[in-house]
Amino acid sequence: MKTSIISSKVLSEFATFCRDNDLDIGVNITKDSFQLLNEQEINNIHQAIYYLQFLFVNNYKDIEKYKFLASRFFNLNLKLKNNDKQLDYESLFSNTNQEKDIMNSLFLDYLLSPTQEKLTSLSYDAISSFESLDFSRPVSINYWVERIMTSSYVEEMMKVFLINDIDKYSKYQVYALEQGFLKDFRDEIFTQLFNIKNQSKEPYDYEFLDKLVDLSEKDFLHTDKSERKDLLQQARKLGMYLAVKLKKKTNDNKKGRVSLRKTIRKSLSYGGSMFSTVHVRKIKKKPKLIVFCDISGSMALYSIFGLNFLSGILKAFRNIRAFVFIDGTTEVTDLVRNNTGEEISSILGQWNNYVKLDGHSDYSFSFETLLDNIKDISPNNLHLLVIGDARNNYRFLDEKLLIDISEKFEKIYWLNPEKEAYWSTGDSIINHFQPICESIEEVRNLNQLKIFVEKISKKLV
Amino acid sequence: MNKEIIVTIKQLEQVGYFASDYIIDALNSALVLNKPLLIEGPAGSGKTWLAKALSHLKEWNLIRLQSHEGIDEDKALYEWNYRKQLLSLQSDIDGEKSIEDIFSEDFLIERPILQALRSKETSLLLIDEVDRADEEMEALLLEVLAEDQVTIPELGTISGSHNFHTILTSNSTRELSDALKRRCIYLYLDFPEISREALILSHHIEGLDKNDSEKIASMISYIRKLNIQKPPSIAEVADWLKYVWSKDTGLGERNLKKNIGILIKNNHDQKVVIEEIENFNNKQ
Repeated sequence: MKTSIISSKVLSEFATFCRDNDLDIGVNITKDSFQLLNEQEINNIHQAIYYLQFLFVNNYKDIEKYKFLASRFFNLNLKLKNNDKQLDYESLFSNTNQEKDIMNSLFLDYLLSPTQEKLTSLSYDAISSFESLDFSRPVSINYWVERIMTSSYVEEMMKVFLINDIDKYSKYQVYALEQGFLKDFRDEIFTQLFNIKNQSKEPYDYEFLDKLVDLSEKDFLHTDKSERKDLLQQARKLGMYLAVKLKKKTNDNKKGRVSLRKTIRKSLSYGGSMFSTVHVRKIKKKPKLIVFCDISGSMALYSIFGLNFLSGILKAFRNIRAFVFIDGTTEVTDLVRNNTGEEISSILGQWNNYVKLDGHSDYSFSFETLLDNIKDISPNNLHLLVIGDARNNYRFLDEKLLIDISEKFEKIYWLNPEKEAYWSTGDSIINHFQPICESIEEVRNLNQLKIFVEKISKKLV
Repeated sequence: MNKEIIVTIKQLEQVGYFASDYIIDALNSALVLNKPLLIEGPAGSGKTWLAKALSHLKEWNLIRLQSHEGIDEDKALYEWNYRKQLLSLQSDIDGEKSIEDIFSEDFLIERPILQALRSKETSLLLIDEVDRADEEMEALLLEVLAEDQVTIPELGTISGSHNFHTILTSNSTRELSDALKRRCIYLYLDFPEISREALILSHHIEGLDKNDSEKIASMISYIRKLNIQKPPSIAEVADWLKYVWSKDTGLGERNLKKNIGILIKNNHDQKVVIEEIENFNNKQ
């Protein structure tokens, strides 16, 4: 048998060293490793370590860790072959515009063979060269990150990417490398600044820490972009859930009362015994729903949730129409029915298109135009869902309009995102609508919307 | 060292697979140790294609098991032919048949893993997209991968013929169990580097010269680095190029925009790619 370049004892010690450093390795790995080293034509320790990675590493995230541990254990400066070298950057960067100096060569060295240590050292240099760093100022770490990223030191460093005489497609590569570096560099600077800032800090008292907020209990208005995306999806799902429930309800109610005459007639075919019953065909009462959303400044975000919720229902029912209003009414049924959440949110971006007069919500005029828009629809079984805070900017509300609205709709549901305590205060006219509404609900988070959906699914049909 | 079993880059090139040293070394390690090779990597990076190329090169019988949610031993390992068993019992008027007669080889339907285990000719068992299968399925594989045997309660343990090799592929949609990984040689197969992708493209597209293929590969490599949900696979790039090339309309950004549906299969991603390429062009 050939003698292996690494003895079995050293191999098992290396395996133990890796295990001690949280690299997950099986017990029988030494036997396989020994066999692999014997079978392959291995001439030096570098090659041996390279081949061992196929057995020692079972997650691509651990490849770097393995290299680091191997270099520590065998006391080597390892340059293992890998499969992610994309372009001959070395020759590309030889064309760089910048003069070669120490900083430049360190940076180039990182770009050509990136390691975490080199990145840390680069970011440390960038931070220490930035003199105005002052954590006593009431600004976030991100502020300092931006200042450092735009400092003359970093600008000078980034000149490495200004390369002469390369074709456009190689520029793609350099551009991608530049963007990738900027992202990693920014993250690293953030981490270092975070550590520096917290070095002098005492640990927080538990009672002062922010409590974890349940997303479904969080006010829509206080959500960030990613939370909002999640909530919009859930609102859409809730709409679909309601649609399924309503569909089921309309389908379940197909059978009407038993028709005695027809049942007796049918029983004659079974010799007079009532083998089966015949029901009167029932006319389906499909819900006719109008959704009316206030998208004025204070309401816009809530309305987007409302419209997303609505888009879920609209997919299942044709006889639902959606309108948005500020100081006049615009129909958005097709927009909501045919588009995804992202496009619905674009309503906010085109806010100006929906302004008719002065951009302040006008419930009186908006309701008037709504009634005008739907004058052809029979009031029979017609429902209205309003999403709005009923803040009329101290405009006049005609009592006759309220009567017209109540006559037009069989039931009116109102979702008010304001806290109940604020209803009917200031310019809020919600108290005027209270007598004609079936129910007015405070809906400012997902849980409240869920409760409303449960209620409405029982009442609507 | 068993020289017959190992493969070289050139050999794989002959069957249309352009591998790097890294891939070849991992593959050879698995072949030499006769251990399963677990290939992880993004969809469309050539994992399944490597298995196909290997079986083609070695003229091994390729037995493929496509994993999916809910796959169980009936579909992966073996199944009893219940209809045949019932018919056999019905025809047995004298009641001579015993339980052993019914649960015998005659009534056993071999599924891919058992087929590979009992195959007389050398075969390659490809367990594709193993991350889609449930964890129970992984547990089932452990015995096969480590011991080359399966246990069928009615028949006993069936040992393998030791003349099959196994390749497992995974898209990393979930973490596989440590127990499974430990039994395998691990290879992370990312999208190919520019030079290798250029070779692949020029192999697929007739008349595409080295310069053009490298330019396209650079652009594709850039697109893959963008913040998109599904980066284009090699096959998609080849399809796109075949179409653009057949129309002989050149390789400008305009063409990319026009035929982007062949390359990018997501509305959001399409917007990002077009926007980024425009940004890039404006910056120049």
